[in-house]
Amino acid sequence: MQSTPANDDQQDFLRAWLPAQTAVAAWLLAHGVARQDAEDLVQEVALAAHRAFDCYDPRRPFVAWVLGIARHKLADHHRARPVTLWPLLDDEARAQVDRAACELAGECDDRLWAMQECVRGLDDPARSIVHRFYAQGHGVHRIAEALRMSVNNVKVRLHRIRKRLRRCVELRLAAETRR
Amino acid sequence: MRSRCEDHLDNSASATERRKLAADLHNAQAARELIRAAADTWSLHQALRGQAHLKPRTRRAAGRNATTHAPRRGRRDCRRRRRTPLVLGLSLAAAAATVLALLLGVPARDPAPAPAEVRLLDQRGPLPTGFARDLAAGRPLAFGAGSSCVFGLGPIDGRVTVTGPARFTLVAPARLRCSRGVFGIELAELEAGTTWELTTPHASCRVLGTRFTVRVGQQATELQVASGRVAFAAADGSGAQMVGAGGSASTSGAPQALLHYPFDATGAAVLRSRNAGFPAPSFVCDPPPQTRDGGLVVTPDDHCTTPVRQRWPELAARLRRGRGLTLAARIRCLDPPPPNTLVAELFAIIPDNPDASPTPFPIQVRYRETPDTRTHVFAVVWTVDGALMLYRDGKQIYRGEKPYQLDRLSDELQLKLFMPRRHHEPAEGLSGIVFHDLWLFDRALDADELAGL
Repeated sequence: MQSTPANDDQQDFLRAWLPAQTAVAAWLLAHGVARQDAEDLVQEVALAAHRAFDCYDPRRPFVAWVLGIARHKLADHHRARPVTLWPLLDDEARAQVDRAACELAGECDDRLWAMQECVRGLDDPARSIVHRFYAQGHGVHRIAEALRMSVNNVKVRLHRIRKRLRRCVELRLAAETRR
Repeated sequence: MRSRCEDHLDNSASATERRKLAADLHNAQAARELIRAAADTWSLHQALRGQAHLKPRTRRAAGRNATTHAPRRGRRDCRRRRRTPLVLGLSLAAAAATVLALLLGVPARDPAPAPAEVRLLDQRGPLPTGFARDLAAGRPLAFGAGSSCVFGLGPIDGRVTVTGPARFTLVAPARLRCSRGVFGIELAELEAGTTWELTTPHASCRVLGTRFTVRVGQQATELQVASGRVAFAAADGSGAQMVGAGGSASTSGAPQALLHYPFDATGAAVLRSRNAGFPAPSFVCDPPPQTRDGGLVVTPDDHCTTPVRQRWPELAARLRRGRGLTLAARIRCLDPPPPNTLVAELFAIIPDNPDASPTPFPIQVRYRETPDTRTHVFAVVWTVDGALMLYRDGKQIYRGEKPYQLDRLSDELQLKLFMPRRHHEPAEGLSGIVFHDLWLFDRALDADELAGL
């Protein structure tokens, strides 16, 4: 059996990165990065993390390390396109958000899977609204116009759908934990 | 609090609400709620975009409270760190992102499988460390071009030959998920009521005791059956068929356009893109557009463009993803045009560096080779390595270089249709062009794909 250091590195990195990916994305969104920018930023963080992977100390949490990289990327991004919440946070609030992201990292994979299952369970009207909002990036005004609903009605329905999905995700995660 | 998080994540929170949220975040529970809501937003976004996800099986073994990751390797001296070539880095980042995307179209989660029995029978070239162990444990595996291997499967009597570059996972003892590579399968007659299945992003092959080969490309999956029978279907279940000995089947991976202007409607609707999943630029024509033969007629005196200096961040972000781009137009000239007539253009700006003035970046489709009045599809393809190619009906007719960095493309984009006068080109002998379709793809299409437009 042959292997190369590059192969080992790649596999190590992927094993570490994949479970951390959702936590990094959530951390970026929480700081006010727009959804359409978050995907690109996550990729940039992945690339930078891989390039610096030799400097990662495996005795420390990978997520905390990669959030350090994300912090630099967020600062760069903020210069080009200001993010909404990050400038308003002081050190203590930022530390709380970092801690929350690290805590969540352990269950991110399950959460993503559970959300996918829950979305499948939505009825057509609900799926149509969330698809327009999250997948197509339409605003509530545009959705309201397309579906001939009031803007307020769209907002309320979105809120209810999210609540339903959240409950569904929590139930699935709880069931998974019991298995 | 939860509602405030949602408003913030939806970008609909007021400045006051954001300040309150920032103050709330001194509390650990509030920070947890925000992060959970953000994770839900991200998961929902991914789920709705079809990014099916499979939980890595390593976590089940590692325990549920693992927030740290301990790779197998020890710490190295950063000063001696290996300089990873950018291309390798990019491919790894892409690989990390695509490990999830690879699972497109695959049922969300397989039941926890009994460990498969895997025997490595032969190999050429390097394979990942612990290949057989990881394969048996259901972990994703990948190796590059130049490597291949043969492994046996138990308890069924079978062997699989994999030729790289390949990416695959044995997700259950009787189910191999392949996202790239060439896979030769030899299986003895299976017991009644049992099946062995191979899935790809494009198709599934249910084996009924057979010998067959599957080639998984980026766009499509091809199946060739040497003996026995294979039940073959596209990933969405369509086109199900039984392929017998000597038979073959394939899925077509029709490319999805980022923007498509069919120009076949009437009134203002004719100028809108049909299938963009984001706010897409519409054409504005002066004078108002004429239609003929189900297409849009544009003459040298007409001005048909999307708004000048308009920012289209979503569109630009997709073009910056490093997959190249393709601009294609199905057109018919009202009279035979002079050679090299400009048909359509994507205009952008590439900021070379902060000190230099931005560089104009016009990507132009030009009419070449056959000055006739038949309908043709002309396309300009720009690859990530800077090659610029012009195609007519899927045949390459020009190749040059355009060494700009696409990842620095500006947000300001403009599409233009046939404007020779405004490009300081002689308009004599030009009567007009009927546009039937205009496509913009966020990757470099190959000749076959262009021929299929």
